Amino acid sequence: MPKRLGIKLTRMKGLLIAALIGVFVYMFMPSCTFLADADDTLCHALAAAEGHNWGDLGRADMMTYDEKTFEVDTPLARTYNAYSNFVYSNLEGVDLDRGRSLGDFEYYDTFLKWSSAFVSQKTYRVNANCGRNCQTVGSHSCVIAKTTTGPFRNDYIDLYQTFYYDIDAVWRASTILHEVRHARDQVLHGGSTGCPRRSACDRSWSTAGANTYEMLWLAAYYWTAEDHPFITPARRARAQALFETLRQGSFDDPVQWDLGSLALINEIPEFFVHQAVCSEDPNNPHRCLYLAN
Amino acid sequence: MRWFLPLFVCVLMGVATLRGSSVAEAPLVQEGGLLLRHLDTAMSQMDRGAGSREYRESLAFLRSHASEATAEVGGVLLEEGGGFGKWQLTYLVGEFGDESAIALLRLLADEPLPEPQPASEGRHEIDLAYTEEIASRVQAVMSTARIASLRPNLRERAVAELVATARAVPLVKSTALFELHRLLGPEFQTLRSYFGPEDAKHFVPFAPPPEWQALLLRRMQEHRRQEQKFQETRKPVCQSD
Repeated sequence: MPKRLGIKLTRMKGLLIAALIGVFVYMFMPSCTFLADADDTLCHALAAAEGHNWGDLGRADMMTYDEKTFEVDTPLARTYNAYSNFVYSNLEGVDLDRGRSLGDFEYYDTFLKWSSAFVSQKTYRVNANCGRNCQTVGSHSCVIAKTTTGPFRNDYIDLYQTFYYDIDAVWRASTILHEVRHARDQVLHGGSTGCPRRSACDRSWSTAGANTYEMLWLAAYYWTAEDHPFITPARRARAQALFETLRQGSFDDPVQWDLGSLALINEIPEFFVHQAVCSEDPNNPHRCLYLAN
Repeated sequence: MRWFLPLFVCVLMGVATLRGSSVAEAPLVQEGGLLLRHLDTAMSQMDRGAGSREYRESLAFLRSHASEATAEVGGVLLEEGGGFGKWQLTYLVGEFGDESAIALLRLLADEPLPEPQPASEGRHEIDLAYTEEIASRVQAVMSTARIASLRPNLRERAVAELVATARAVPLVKSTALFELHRLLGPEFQTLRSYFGPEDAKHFVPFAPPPEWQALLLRRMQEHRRQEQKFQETRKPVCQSD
């Protein structure tokens, strides 16, 4: 008996060690290398933008478009053209190194560069979800995307039908940044149901939540050169309108900052990134003077 | 056979020119259909902007028939519920630049906002129609400012409308003041007397604290250099297209 027990214990130990090794590998594995399946969208989107893996992905899926509206019509293509807003809103485009430290503001010297790296580094997994996550069929109230976070690296973003077919590419892009803020940073909505977006509301601008980050990106997108090769006047106008919809409807406390307050976001992004996380510290009035509620 | 290729190209160019001019010089009876076709094209191509030949051509047509085009979309703007299409039309009305659009856009900005649909408890649902209603009203203000910049002779009227909108519609006050600032530059300060102390912040230019000024200056110089370099390297590529 003791010998059998000993063998059992050895097996159990072996299994336990194997499980621990599995967890260890899972925690540290780089997502792009090991999870190169069809729904690891960010990796593929960036890879596609850099001219790799097109064949594996299915170029047809990427390039098909509706002959009447000329719009790309597959979920994957619509996800890609959302991500292309992160890639091409920077003049560096695909040449931007998104792997540097997020504290390197000498390199990420515009908010658009920084946010592109932020999305790249803080996304773990993005799933396409075929569901239309609405209360009823035909309802206007829909979930666009949802992020599930966990204690290890098992957080993931689900993109619903609404993401692909009810909103435009600029809104899709800002939604991605919004969700990424929920994912790795695990900053969740803390607002009450009193503001128009209800459970998707943040308490205030200075909580630096997903809505604040989304607005910062839309402002940075707006504040680019007028002759920007990628940001057309219609895209810029859309960013301005979406900025205002968030400002009006996604915070419990009214946001006093407008687009004009963020005019320098692509000049000194570190100021806005740090000041957005303002704690309303009474001993440090300068810090809160500008960007806290 | 050497003469065949140049001749073929010339014939093709001739056909293309004729097709292009047939759009601009179509008889009036076809105009209704043409107008709708160009509206359709402008909506589907506006995202690409001036980079799209179809958009340029359709916008040119719609600008040359601006009052008819504005009248055509007027009903949709005031009657349709919120949606991306409504926002697109509100944007395009600004691009047409017709005088009649100023009153139309004001009506849109003034319309009461519907109540957002209640979302299920705990689900992060967004009322898309409600969001698009806000976006269209905001765009109405932006489009009014656009008309002022496209048509200098309408500037005064558009500015008066923007001031009145900022005073009367809290939802779009911030956008109206922002657009007025962009439109008028330093002259914007002359509007201060029309607004109360609660709006004083709109008249104070945003500036980061003093310790950030040196970095700001350095970055601005650097960015302008980078942009210029980008333009220089981009030019030859564009010219070869």
